[in-house]
Amino acid sequence: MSILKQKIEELKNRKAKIMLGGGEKSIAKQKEMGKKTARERIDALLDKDSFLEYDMFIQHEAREFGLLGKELPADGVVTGTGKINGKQVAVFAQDFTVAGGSLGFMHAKKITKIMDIALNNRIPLIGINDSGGARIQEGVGALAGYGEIFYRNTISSGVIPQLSVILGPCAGGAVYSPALTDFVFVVEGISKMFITGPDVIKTVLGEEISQEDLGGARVHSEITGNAHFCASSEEECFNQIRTLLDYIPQNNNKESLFNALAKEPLDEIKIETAVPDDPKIPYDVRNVIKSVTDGSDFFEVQALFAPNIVIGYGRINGATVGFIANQPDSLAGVLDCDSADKAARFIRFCDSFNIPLVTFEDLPGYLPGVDQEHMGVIRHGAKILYAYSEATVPRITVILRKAYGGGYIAMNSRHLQADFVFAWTLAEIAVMGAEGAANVIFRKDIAEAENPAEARTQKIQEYKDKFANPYVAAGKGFVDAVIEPCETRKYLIHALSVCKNKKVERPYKKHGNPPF
Amino acid sequence: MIKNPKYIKSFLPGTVVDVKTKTGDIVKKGDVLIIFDAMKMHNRIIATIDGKVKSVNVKQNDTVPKDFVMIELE
Repeated sequence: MSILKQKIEELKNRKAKIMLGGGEKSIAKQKEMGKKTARERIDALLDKDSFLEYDMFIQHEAREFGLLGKELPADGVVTGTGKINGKQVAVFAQDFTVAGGSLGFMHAKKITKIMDIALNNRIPLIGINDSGGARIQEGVGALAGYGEIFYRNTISSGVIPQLSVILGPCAGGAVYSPALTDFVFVVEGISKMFITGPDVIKTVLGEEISQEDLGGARVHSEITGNAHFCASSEEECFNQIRTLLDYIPQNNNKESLFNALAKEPLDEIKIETAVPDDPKIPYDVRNVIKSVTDGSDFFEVQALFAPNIVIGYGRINGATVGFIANQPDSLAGVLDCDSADKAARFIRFCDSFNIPLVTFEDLPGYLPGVDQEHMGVIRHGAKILYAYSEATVPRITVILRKAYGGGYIAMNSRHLQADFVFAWTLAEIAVMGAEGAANVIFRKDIAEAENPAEARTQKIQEYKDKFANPYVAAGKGFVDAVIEPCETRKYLIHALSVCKNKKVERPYKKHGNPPF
Repeated sequence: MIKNPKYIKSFLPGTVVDVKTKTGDIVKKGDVLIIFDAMKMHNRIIATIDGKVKSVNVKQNDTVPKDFVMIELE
């Protein structure tokens, strides 16, 4: 055998050993938990044969507690680059079969190296998390690793899309990398995220709770809002990632926006019947979105969290649009702490990556209540005002029915410098609903009337006739056009086309200070 | 807190416009149980799990406070 052949043979042997990760026993255990191995996950997620792995031969730095001389293949994390939908991405996947995917100093070095590659080359970063946490045996070296990762997450924010996929435990400091990224994917029964686990909670507070109830996939999708996409299997989760990457660009350079083939919305989604005439009757606003998007496709983000506002992606004439819509089917479509927070972060992502925004508005206002006020609806509600005002991407609003009070201003009104505001003929743009308004304005008249109930009804009607329509706002130029529902897509296509080269200058600043 | 889907509560003070179910009914996830007037809307209050109606604690035109258990499922 020639020397070269021998050397190649040696390489193959070394690789084969590393490819086995923590070994057959650990792999069997991983499978028992319903989980794929790190390399299987990368293969399942990326385009076939597109992945190249780096830093396979990295050696860990642990010297204490029996780890000296112990082999930890690839130091428990697989890193590399490959393609999704034909476009480059950078990936890391923690390997739970190797020392529980624990993060040591070199493990973190591999991750930060792939993060640097992603940022320098302006390609999306996907991190698959499956780790027991910091490798305690390495001490502060492990903590250093987390810090280096958080720093890079922050510096890359708004430059490249960063996706975190939680396919196992992600506890303690580890949770903050996903929290700093743009999109978090979770899978039911597999994902667990928390700062302190059930054991610590029990020791310190005496409270008993399961991992699932504390930080499972449903908890983060419905209650905390930490997760953006919830799947019932790893396969479904990977499909969601591919779909998302199909909508969003590679980086914040305008040239990385791409157009798909334009399609008409489906005939069976009828915009004329999507919204009931009676403003008291709720409906699913997603049908309005689907009635204007290409192929009636709509990819919803954070569907289970704060469902009173709907956010997500669709295409109009081939180009990706970010949709924000009040959802009358949930809590009457009110704005509250969570929905304002949800919408604001989405708006800022779209603005960072040059994705135009279309807002469908139908809301009674902000949610009243002691708990909302004490939870800070003032500062949370302010986020949506900030996010809209700050955004320089094309911003178009369509007022469907109710646009009352503070809610009217917040939902990308003309006053926050929306590019276009259209109102349907059903629109009611007013300071408040007719009943409330009549009670305030005509309190005395009603009280002193011979028949107060009758007087009240009459005054409500009087207010409705005067203000419950789009024409007062249109008369002041706050609404650019009053349109028929069936004209919505036509107006959106036209407006997006007008705004294609929109350029708005902002005064110099290091960065703003949004009400986080 | 994780909501217990067995307790169908009012999310705000409001008025019961219509009760669409009665004690002993078998309901499916997604069924409309109550039409509830609050925030200028006739909100559809739906079951989030399959179950049997254990008790209905409201009737048409009742005014209820916030977080009132309107229906209990078993």
